[in-house]
Amino acid sequence: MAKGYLALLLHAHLPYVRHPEYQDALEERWFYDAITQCYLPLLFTMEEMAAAGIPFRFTMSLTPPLAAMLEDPLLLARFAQRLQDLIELGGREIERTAHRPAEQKLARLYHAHLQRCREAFVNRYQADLRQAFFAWQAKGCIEIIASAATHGYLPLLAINPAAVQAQIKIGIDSYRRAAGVAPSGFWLPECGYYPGVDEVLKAQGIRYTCCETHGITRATPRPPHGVYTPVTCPSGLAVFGRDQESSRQVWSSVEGYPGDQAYREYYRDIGHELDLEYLRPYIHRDGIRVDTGFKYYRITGRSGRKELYDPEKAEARAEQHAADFLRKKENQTNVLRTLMARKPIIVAPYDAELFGHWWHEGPRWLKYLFTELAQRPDTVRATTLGAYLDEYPDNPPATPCASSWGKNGFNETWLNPKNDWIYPLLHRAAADLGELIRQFPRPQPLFDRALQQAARELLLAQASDWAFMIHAGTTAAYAEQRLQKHLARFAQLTAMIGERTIDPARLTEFEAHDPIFPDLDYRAFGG
Amino acid sequence: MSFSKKKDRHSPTVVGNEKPKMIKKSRLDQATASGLRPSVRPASEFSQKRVVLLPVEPHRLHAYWEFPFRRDPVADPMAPHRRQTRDEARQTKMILRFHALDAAQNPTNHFDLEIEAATGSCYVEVPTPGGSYYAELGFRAALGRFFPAVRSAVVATPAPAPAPPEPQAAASLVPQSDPTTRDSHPPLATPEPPAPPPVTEALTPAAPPADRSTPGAAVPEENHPAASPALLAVSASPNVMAIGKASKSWRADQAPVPGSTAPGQPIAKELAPWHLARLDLTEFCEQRFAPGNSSPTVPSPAPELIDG
Repeated sequence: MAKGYLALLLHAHLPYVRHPEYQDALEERWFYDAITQCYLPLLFTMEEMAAAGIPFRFTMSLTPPLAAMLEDPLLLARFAQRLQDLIELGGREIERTAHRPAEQKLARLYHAHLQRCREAFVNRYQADLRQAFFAWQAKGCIEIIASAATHGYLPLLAINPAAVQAQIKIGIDSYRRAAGVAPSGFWLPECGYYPGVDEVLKAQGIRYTCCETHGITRATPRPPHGVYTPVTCPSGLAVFGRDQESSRQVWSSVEGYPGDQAYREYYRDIGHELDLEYLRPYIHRDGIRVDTGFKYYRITGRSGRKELYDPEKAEARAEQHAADFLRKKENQTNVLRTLMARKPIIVAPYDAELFGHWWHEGPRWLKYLFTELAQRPDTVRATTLGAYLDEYPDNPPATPCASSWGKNGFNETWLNPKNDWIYPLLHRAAADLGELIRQFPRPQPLFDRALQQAARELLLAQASDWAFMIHAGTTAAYAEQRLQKHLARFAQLTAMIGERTIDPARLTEFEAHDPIFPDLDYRAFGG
Repeated sequence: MSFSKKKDRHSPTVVGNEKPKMIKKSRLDQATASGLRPSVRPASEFSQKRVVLLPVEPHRLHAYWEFPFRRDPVADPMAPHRRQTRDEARQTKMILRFHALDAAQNPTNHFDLEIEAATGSCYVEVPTPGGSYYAELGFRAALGRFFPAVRSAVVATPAPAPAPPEPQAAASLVPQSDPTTRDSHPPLATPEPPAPPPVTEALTPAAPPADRSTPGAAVPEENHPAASPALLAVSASPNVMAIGKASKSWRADQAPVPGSTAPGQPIAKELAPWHLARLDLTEFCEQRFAPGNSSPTVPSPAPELIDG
């Protein structure tokens, strides 16, 4: 009989990036790389565990933008071509490294992995990875939770309650459409909680969500068990809190496992190192160097000198780290169990893209963690958030504190002098849309489509990713471009609606460009 | 109170004892100058006046405002005020007045910031972290009279620290009449038994990180915070163990097991099982909270979008 629970939560999200107007858009590669480096490896890991009889349970979110991209024919066709190109590159790499056996071994590994990806994507999953994940939910191994429509950062949209309601309702509708069932749980984008969002979630049938540590520790009244039990909001929503220890052990760039010297170096990629002519067929068609995924070095140390990656040593290290992680969870649980009147839950949320993309060995670590959990069942048991609530439906009443998992734990990652200009535009647009919806309670079909597309453009502008990118400065120009595009289209559409002169060709063009949420119910913006 | 720049021109007026601070001027003016953002502004922007407050963190608010400026006396919303005060427009100061609210949401005091309409936004340090505020945008006449034009919604900044422990929860850590605990420690805690050191002291010192020069090495158990001598002492103390036993029996059926509470003692019925924690895990978790774990949601930096 276990003394406590460990609930891993993998948050899978990418911003909605789709550029039919370009033959080769750099930002679409985020999606293609995430499939080969993260989503397929996670599915492979689950298959391996199931085949080996290793029980596993964790919670996962699959945000609506990612889910939409995973079923988009244009993006999937482009991904298949990208995969084919990389397999070809793998063949050439095997030839190129023929006189360097250690490197050639790695080239063969990558080549084999890419071929496995193609086989699985085309044959086994029939190009539908979203359903591949939901199949594991149907088997009871994972629990997939919903999220906001376009990953809007809800605390800063709350000035328009209808905007928050629309993000949540349309996100849940998207989940229901994909899964065929209503979600129990909801991932708040960026862990962004504010008092009041619980009522919206509860009204939409959500049973639980998760927030950052201090969302619970600073709740009112003060919860007695910290983050080791959920709290129940006045609305009845259960809110779990993130465990800092687990976060640090995996995520920290200083202490975290992914920084180990044996692991693969993310920042060394042949796409930035080999001869341009050799690479030209496999990078951006304008000759812009990009990551290819062929990375031959390990982290080695802080200096620039890198040693060759040794996959066997990295695999062994992943196994050691999984055992170490579990040992720490056991220590934590043993102590907590003496202090609590029930089994504690340790909630460990991570970005899913950490596993495989940033941390190449992450999926292997997951496999070894569940292997260890199966072998040492006496202290810690893996669970999902919903399963824990089934066992402990009665939890301390409290209203969590406003919080996020951004820098310093509040809103400043998404609201600072670099990106604060976004919010007057988003707030005004949401108010304008609500007003238009009230003006057109029973619109004619063309106006109905225009209102729906206006809502779609606004939702896409609300994504938290743009504010994050502008803040981080890495892809700020792209983020500003996306905001400008969606808000400009929104302005055009609302102007056409207001003037009662819809241009059908223009509307069709907008609809074709971003066909996310085909059944979008824009009336949620009407309040 | 100070503006980070142009302190002499922008020193806000302070009313009451509180010292507001404008932290940084928004870049909205720069953004507007770039020519990018106005093109995406909804058609209705500036068609009506408003002021919006957004919480940034416990000590800081962001405010932005939109105000129609037209010299047409009919359309100028401030025209009546100007007439009323007989001030020239240039002598009238635009003011953002922040009102602090008490727990019952009643205004307690306020402070003023002198602003420029074209600036559009600002950041303000609030005197009471975790408090509720609203703002009024208006004008102050030369003689000091304030004419509010528009009011924001009430917002609250997040709490800067955990709420104090509830007396009831503290008093109910251990059921006074529980025979399983009666003999092992003094009855409930008034005053608190001195034995167990506070969990925050026991657990707060972070474990040293794993030695990266020997990758994969587990943090020695003796270094784990949960294994610190102080905490182990607490864990092993008769108090804690006894409480643990009492708690388990209560958890089983959400009520005291027969015999664990003397008949007629009401305390058990009033205690929820989660009140039985002996140590303050909330304080422990708060101490371990290390902000800054923001996750990179974008897989990799990429150059600008280029048309293929």
